[in-house]
Amino acid sequence: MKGVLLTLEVPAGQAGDRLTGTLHLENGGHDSVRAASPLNAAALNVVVFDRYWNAVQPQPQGKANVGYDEVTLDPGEAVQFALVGLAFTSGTARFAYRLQPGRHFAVAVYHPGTSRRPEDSSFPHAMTSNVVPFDVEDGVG
Amino acid sequence: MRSHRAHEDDLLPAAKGGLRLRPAVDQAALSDVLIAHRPDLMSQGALAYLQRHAGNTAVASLLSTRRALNRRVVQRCTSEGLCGPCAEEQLAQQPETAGGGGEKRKGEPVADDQVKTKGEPAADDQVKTAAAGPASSAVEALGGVPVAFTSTVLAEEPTGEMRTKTKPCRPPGGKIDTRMPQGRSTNAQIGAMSACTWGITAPDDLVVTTTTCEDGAGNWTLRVMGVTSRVRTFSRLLAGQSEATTARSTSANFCAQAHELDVLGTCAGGWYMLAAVKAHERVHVNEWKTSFPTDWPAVKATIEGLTVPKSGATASQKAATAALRSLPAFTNAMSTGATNFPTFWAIPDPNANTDAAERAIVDPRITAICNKARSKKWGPAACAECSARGIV
Repeated sequence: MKGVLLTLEVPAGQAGDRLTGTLHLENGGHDSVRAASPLNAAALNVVVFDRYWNAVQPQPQGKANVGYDEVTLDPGEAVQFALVGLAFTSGTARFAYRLQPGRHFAVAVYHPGTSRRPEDSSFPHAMTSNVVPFDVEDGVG
Repeated sequence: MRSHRAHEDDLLPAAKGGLRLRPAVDQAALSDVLIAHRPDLMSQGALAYLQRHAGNTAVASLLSTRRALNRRVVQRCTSEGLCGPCAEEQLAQQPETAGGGGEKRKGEPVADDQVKTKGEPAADDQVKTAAAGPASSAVEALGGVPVAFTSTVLAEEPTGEMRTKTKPCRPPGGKIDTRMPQGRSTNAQIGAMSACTWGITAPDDLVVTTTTCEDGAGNWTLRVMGVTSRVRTFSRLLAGQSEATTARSTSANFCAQAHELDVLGTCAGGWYMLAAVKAHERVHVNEWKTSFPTDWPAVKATIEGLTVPKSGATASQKAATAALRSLPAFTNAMSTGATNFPTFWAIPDPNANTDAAERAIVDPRITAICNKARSKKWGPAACAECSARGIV
């Protein structure tokens, strides 16, 4: 994880039920890095706060059977992941957001585990992205 | 089809100012007339009056008409998607909605089982008191024609006083009809799957049938009669993956097949088994079905705890039903999200059960692939998954 940089982008002006964000994973170090995909189960959370910094509850989308994946990044190399609905797969299910209009703040937390089964895994590292302020234009339809 | 259309004219004046009914009048059609023109005839005071002035045949006809009306109330209730207790509720209220039910008339027998023949014997005057007690039935000979009537509601009135009675709600928490059909995931759900996602399983929002009844405190409330929870699931192989079969095994790929099956697949792998994905998702379907009873009672209690006053805009049962089912709390109760069903959404995924389900599918296939490698002399001993199974 050394040298890995995590950047979250959430464009402003999106509809609350059609959000899309982008997560960038970049190797800012001098050695190649092999890292678990943030799309793996229990590897990533996207945390969203409303304008008063109350955490917004993501909605479960379903039990998602996700195949384990890895990415290898050479120095200076980056890979990006589209997060439709600012979705992520926790250790129990896939979650996504539907947001009301107004200002929000989002942050991604990357915490790859040591095993494909979350209940058997340890999570020795966790790193956070930048905090992204963004405005939701339209409400949840 | 009605054989005879009833009119107000079917209520003919009797000789002494009473009423008699034309014979052969369709009872259901007659009830329309009674509701529209003479709702007072549905009251017990009117029954007694009718008995005195028009005789027992007229009373029997009217009682028969009311039973026909009650049956239609039940049918209407059912057609509105409601059921048993609702029908009972409406039956209980029917005298009031038909008019005149709340009025006591001294000196007049009022209950079905109290329509007697004191003092005014008539040729057809043979109405007897039905067996006492609620829901008692009797077959009475009226004018030589056996007539059965039920005194379900009225026989509970010991004083013979006709009163508007609304059957109170049964206590919350009774058994209900629970259904859990299974369906295919929606296109939106499938479209939202990431490239590395083999399967998805999620319950739809609940569909809850309710009946509306009185809580005894002047409020309408709901009782849950049934709940349908459709759980949707979808399974696939990932793009670039093939079904790992022995027919596709070669000396070059058999070990990769065995390995990828043994680790229960990877996103980047080229081999897996659709049956294993389906087995994994079946575990989630069962998780939903088995965890549902843990969290559903609280949701049901929320629904059955909602009330609106039996007055104003929600005075009628129909308006109350619409209002109750439009409450945000009711809408929120339909959600199968983590707030209402924390047990299901807290089950880890993948877990020991999903792994076991997949392994039950892939293990025999690994063995078959390794056996083929041995028979073809592809050197299975060099393949860890084969050698671990003693196939060398």
